[in-house]
Amino acid sequence: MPLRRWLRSSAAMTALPLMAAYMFFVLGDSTNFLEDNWLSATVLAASAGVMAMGPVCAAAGAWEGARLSRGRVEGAAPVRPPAVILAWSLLPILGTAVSGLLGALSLVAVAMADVPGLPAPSVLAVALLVIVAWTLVGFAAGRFLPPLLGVPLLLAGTWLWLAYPAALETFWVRHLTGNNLGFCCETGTTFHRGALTAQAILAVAVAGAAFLAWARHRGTRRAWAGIAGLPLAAAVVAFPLVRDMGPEAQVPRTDGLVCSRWDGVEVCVWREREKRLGFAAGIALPAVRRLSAATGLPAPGRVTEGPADGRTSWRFAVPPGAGGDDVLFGLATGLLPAAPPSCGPDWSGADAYAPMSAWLALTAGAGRDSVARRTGPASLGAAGRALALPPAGQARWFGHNLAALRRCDIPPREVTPL
Amino acid sequence: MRTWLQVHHVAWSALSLAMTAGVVAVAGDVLVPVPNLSQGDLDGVPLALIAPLAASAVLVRGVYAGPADLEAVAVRPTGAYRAGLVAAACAATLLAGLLLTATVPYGTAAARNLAGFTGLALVASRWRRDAATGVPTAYMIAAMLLGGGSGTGSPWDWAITDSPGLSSWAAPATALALGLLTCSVFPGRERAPS
Repeated sequence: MPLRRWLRSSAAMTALPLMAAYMFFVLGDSTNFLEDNWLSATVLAASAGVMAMGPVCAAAGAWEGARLSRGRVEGAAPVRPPAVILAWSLLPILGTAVSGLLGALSLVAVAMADVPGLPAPSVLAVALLVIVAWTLVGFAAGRFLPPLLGVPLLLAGTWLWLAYPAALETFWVRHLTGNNLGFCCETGTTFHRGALTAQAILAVAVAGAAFLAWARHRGTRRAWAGIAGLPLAAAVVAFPLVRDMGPEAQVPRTDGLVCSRWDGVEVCVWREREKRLGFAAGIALPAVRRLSAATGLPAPGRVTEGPADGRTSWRFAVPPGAGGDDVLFGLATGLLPAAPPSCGPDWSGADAYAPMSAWLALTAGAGRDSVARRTGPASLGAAGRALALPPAGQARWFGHNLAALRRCDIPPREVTPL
Repeated sequence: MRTWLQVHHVAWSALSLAMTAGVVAVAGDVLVPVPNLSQGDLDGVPLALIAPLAASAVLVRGVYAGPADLEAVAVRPTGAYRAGLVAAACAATLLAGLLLTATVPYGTAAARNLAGFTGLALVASRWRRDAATGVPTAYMIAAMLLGGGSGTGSPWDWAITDSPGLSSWAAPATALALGLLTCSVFPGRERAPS
């Protein structure tokens, strides 16, 4: 095999600079907004790779498919099976896609230099699968369409399929494309496994159908209907996996904590933040004791960035760059309900949220200026009014207003400044 | 003439123009989100500005269909026929866009894009005829990535400018004029994919 001629004649060589430029543009400044975990970096690289290379590889596939068609490989005496013929045309495009993904990973790796961990291989594998699937669709289209139609059709069509679902309010569609919008996940979350599985199922089916369409010289209507039905059947299988998903593919993370015990209390942070464990414990443990004494809540056995029940374990966060007041504010407000009850528009409980946040943060030891910036001067005034009460009165004030935040029939009390 | 029209898939070109007009009329204002670098966030480009890519590809495919060798030595002015086909298609689309301005908000801009895309493809056919329609598609994607978005825009990002103003017509009109010249005077050479 004359390798140089083989590579030079492939559309992938023409497409490579276009893909590289497009991917650079798609990545853009996004690396500045990465979370401190490798999953977010992998998703960004994979998303940029799929967005930049999917359409271009599909167009290159349409070109190569038309080339094979003009070469009449299907009509000639079969020296090699169709899969081998296709593979030799597909390999340069695939090699280009892999190089592009590795290039994107290298770019995000620079931004992740200080973060422990490794790229998520499953995300990269699904991205590559999506690119291969659309490239094979290009091959199939190229067999039937001249390059003048096939190339722009695949370039624009694939790009629309990847880009347009982000504009739809029907969220599940976007989780099937493999684009993933360039973002997932915060360090306290992980990628929805169902979404990744759905993308893989659909990509495999599309790839299979495209290959069969390319390889089939003649066929009955039933055979062609079977080929067309393959992606539809995959969509039916994949749909339940993403049906109930929201706009983003992230779900709460449950593993990957690093814990250490101080004074009988276990302090846990995400393993990416292991270096901040000592800092976190030094800030959080005294605050936990102060909050427990002031609120009357039993002291927790665990303070964690992971799942917490609010009784035996309390939640906090130590993201990179967070100072002591940030950690204290997160720990304090973690004691309040995350979502309001369904009480209707007349519910007044929400009025208690900011004053209670201010009171809890001040009790935990946060600075007044920092609390005022977050909750506003009125809430700070209300918290100051509560802090002037004797300890038992403060605990009663907290208990009453906590109940007001959880129930519809209890109005908040003393949540305005005097 | 009838044979020429059949060989150059004029019916398919007309059908694709009609279908594109239908898409522009029905769903032309649907915004397609695009990662735009100059604005730093997802920006929406109306579908009406993208849809003419398809009609342009079918039109250019029709223009260059047929036996090039025979047409090169034909007695009839086949170059003028090709240019006439493109000019007629673009003029008809522009007329429809202007007539329906009140009811189809992006009709004129879509007609402008059809003219610009077709012109670009015809010019690109001098370089490589079978890759010609990929050029306006790549141009459109580049304009969406780097362009200024909605409003008057710059002369080069006319393809994503929804304003029907004359300034946004300069580049596509030039491209169409050069394209008509290319396909009539310099029919170019057809290269099979290597």
